[in-house]
Amino acid sequence: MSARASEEAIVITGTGIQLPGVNDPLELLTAVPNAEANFDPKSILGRKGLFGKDRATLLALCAAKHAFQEAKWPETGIDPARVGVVVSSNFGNLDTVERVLATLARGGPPEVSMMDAPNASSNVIASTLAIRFNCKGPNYMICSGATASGDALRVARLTLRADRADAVIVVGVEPRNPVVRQFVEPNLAHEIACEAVCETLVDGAAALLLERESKAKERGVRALFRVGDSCRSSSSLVVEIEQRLGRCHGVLAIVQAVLACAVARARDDRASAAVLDAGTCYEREWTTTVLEPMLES
Amino acid sequence: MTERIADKEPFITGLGMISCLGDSAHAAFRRMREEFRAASPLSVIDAAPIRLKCAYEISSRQATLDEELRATSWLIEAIRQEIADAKLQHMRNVPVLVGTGLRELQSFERWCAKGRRFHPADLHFKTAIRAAIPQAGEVITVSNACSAGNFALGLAFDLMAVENAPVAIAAGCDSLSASMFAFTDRAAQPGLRRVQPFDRNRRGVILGEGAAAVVLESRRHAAQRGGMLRARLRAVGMSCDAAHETAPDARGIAAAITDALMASKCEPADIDLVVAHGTGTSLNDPAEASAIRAVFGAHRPPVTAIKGHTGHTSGAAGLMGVITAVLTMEANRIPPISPAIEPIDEAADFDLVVGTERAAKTRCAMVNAFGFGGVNAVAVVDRPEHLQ
Repeated sequence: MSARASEEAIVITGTGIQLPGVNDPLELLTAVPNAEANFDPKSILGRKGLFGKDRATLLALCAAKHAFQEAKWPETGIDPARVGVVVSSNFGNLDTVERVLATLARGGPPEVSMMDAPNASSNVIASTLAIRFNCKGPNYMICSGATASGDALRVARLTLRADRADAVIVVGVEPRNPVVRQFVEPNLAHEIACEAVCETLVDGAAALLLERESKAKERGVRALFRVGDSCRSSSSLVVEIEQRLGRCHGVLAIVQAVLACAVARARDDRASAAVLDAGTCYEREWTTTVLEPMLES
Repeated sequence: MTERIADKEPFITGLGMISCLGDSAHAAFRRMREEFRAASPLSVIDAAPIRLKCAYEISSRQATLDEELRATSWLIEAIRQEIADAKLQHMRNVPVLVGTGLRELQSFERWCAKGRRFHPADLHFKTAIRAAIPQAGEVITVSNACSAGNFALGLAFDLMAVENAPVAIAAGCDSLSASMFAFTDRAAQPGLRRVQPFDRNRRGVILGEGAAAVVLESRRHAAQRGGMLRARLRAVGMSCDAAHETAPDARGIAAAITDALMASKCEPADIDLVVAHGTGTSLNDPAEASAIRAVFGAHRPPVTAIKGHTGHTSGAAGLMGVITAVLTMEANRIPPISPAIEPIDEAADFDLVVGTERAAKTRCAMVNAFGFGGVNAVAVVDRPEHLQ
């Protein structure tokens, strides 16, 4: 690891969301998304290679594609070994686990579809992103509960500063399906009353492309924010975004960062520092990540 | 690839391990050297619909269908062991990086099938570690399939190198999940009773259970408090195949091995032990052997693998390999892979350690771990200089 890399600033060069019912991140400031809205991955990703992919993976692929596009990521000329993937999700593959278990009880292993094999592994989202976008660098699936999105930002920044990669695509995703709802939502309802804002879960993904500042400059792309330090924190500011989207878990800090970038852009790039919080009351765990505005040069 | 200056290499100062071989790292290492065992009858998941009736499960600890949060309990115990081993009881705010393939999916499955109480916050391990380990600071769970433990180790390495953390804990754990067991069952050939890495008669992989944990510590911190330097972690190389969702890719594996060598500034000739991933599947073993061959050229260090003893413990497997490497360097005894091997073509001229333990001075070891989705992490450990 070079001394330079370990101190280099890490910047956000692309953002993307795939939240059914939300077309623009700024809508998160006012509108309540239509929870029943469908999304059509084929219209975003093309028809090829989507067969057998679970909803979490499809949402993540779409959000990541938006972030790469916004970052003007080139099709060629990038060393794939220098591009990493960090995904945060807690409930992504629970529907597959439940389905395989039910099939197993009904008919034994011969009945179990081998199509489900990749989705049975909790890291399927991160590895599918790597295949789709040809990312051969470090690949992490973070499943650390309510702080997972903050942890993912931290792991991505650490990976870049350890000089393991020049760019990392960070995606937070949680699918809301019947299995996840049944598993998680009763616990939200019974949660100790702190700021308990909602009893449903988010359905969607948010993505950021993080790059080392020098590499972003070489590519000639502008960044609005540097990703600053993360730390454990004991409590959180009220997270209004969850009142609209539902409990965000693995998506929370990432979607907050996407919103911060959108707000800064809407104000002619006059960004002020943003604070990203991830956590929930029932885990009594929070992380805070600081976004520092880039100074005009 | 940019060269990484490994000027802050951490040392391993504590070990903890729970496996089907026993309740400590030393007990497991002794049994690996002294005996071979087949997998035991399957008891922790409902075996009725499953054809493969055996696993390397932890059964001495009343492994009944009723026991709760099994992976969590071993993880906690392995972390307590390593903290005691390193004599770090007084420490606080130590980052804990946990690698796991299957999280607490065993408990989730029991919630699905039997309506057992199970809280979403127990799916990962932070809540339990926070309650049981007063030394723990931040806790991050990495769910990187069968190489998760080595990724946790790499994350701990980076945390110390970039942020100058004086101490970090890397741990891995897994218990059997019926859903994953079903897929290994589908791939298993008839008569599968034991894992036979690199053997042309191998019949597939059998999952195992357990947890492994190591304390990483800076030289300065260990010196100030009189901690014992068990081994040095030179580097953890990483790559992703970005090729296939489940099948391994020899090029991706070779990239991780090359990354580990470059980052540790080692030549292939410096490596005098390879603890292979060696799952005994039709796909892994030829891919891994081809990758070793491609990177190591004519150098043929001794190769061992532990999954014939422990089963495939998934998220714990890489760190069990690292612990085996550390104990091998301390004892100068390499545990054997299995009683006898008729090697696959790709490993025909490898120096496979077979039959009995081998006495060999071992200074520098490479430990491989590869997972579903082509996530590869390769650790290089060596003896501290004063013991070289």
